[in-house]
Amino acid sequence: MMTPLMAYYRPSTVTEAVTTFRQLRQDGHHPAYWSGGTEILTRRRLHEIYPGAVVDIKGIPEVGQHAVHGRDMIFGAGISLWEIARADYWPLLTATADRVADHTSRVQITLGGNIASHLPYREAVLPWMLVDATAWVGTIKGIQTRPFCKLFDGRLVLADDEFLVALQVSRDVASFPYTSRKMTRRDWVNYPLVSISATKDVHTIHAAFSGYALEPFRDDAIDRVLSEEDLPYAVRAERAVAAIPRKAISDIHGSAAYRKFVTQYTLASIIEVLEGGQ
Amino acid sequence: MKSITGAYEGVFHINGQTRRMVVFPQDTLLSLLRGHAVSLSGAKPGCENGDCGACTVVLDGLPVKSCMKLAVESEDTAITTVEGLYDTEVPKQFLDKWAFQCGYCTSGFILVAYAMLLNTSRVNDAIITEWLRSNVCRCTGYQEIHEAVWAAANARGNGT
Repeated sequence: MMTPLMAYYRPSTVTEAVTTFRQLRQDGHHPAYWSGGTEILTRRRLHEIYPGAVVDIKGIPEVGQHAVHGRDMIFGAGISLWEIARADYWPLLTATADRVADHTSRVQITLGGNIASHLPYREAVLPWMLVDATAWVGTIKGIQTRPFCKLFDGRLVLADDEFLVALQVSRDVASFPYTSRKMTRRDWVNYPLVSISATKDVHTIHAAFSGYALEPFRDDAIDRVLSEEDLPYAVRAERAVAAIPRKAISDIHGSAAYRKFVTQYTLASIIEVLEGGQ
Repeated sequence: MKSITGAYEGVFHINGQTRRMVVFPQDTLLSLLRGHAVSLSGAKPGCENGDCGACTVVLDGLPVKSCMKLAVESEDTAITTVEGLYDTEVPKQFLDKWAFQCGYCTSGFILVAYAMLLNTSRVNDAIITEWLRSNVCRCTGYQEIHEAVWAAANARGNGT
């Protein structure tokens, strides 16, 4: 069987990318922005999506940047998870990104691709949900900056023709206490029952979750419960799970009840680590 | 802007040779390598879903699952397949340690091990395990594969 045609475009500027995307959309080609491409190729093979054209954003310099500038760190959306771990600018992001998929796949999976994924599992977004980060967004007018917290609500909230160019955050976050856990039912390389990234500022633990529900989430009520220092770790963890405002997934990897159980004991361990225990 | 909407003649650097070949934009690197124009059958189609690693090749020194990479993205990169590692240390050690059974996954493991040795000055058990986790051997010959990779690391001076 012949594979349907999928045209390929590789622009070198943001404006060129958005203009090309708009023109392809207008011509009825159902375009998609392309970064690592693993999810598009997989879903296309399964006949879940039929992009008639892809716009590869990796040729845009701002998408490929990965650097410390003054007081900030900037991570281009086209940087691979392997490159993020290799550079290790932000230990929490390193720890989280380094548990996505397998080593070879992380050479190809990009930060932007993971965050923009349609799968429930988007671990690379978790650290960004815990800090005040700025998103660089590719628009028809060029690059615009927006607070990341306004841009991500379970999934990226962007206009159809916009795309994530880069994420920027203060270098200060690299010194926060942190921990990141990916819990699988079996096998090191697998989709998670739950992935939790957590950090602590002066008195407050902040946690973000992926794999537990259909979309990544964090919640102030969960953070408040986790931070009640007068309560034992296990009690806080139990109450935190009770406070989760999302329905737990029940699938081949684990039932909802099992996910809650695993989340609870993982949270107890995370609190212990962040408060100076072993 | 690179713009490919149909049959396209690209320039590919495979195992030290430069070749001009016609590809379509939707062709994967795996289909390019195994197609009639190149006929390098070392990269194996397994799951074709990025899970098994049987199709692994090395691009610019890094391992890539060729079923998950478009051929047109691979222009201007140095592509290494298992055929390009003929008579080199890693495949030699796989033979010496009998690190294969049916052999279908072997080229993928060899390429991952080769890339690991390129990128890691000193390996240890944890590093080897982490890199090899990207690949699946349905014959479950993991112990011999691990031993072969250690032997190659020691022979190349990457051991600890």
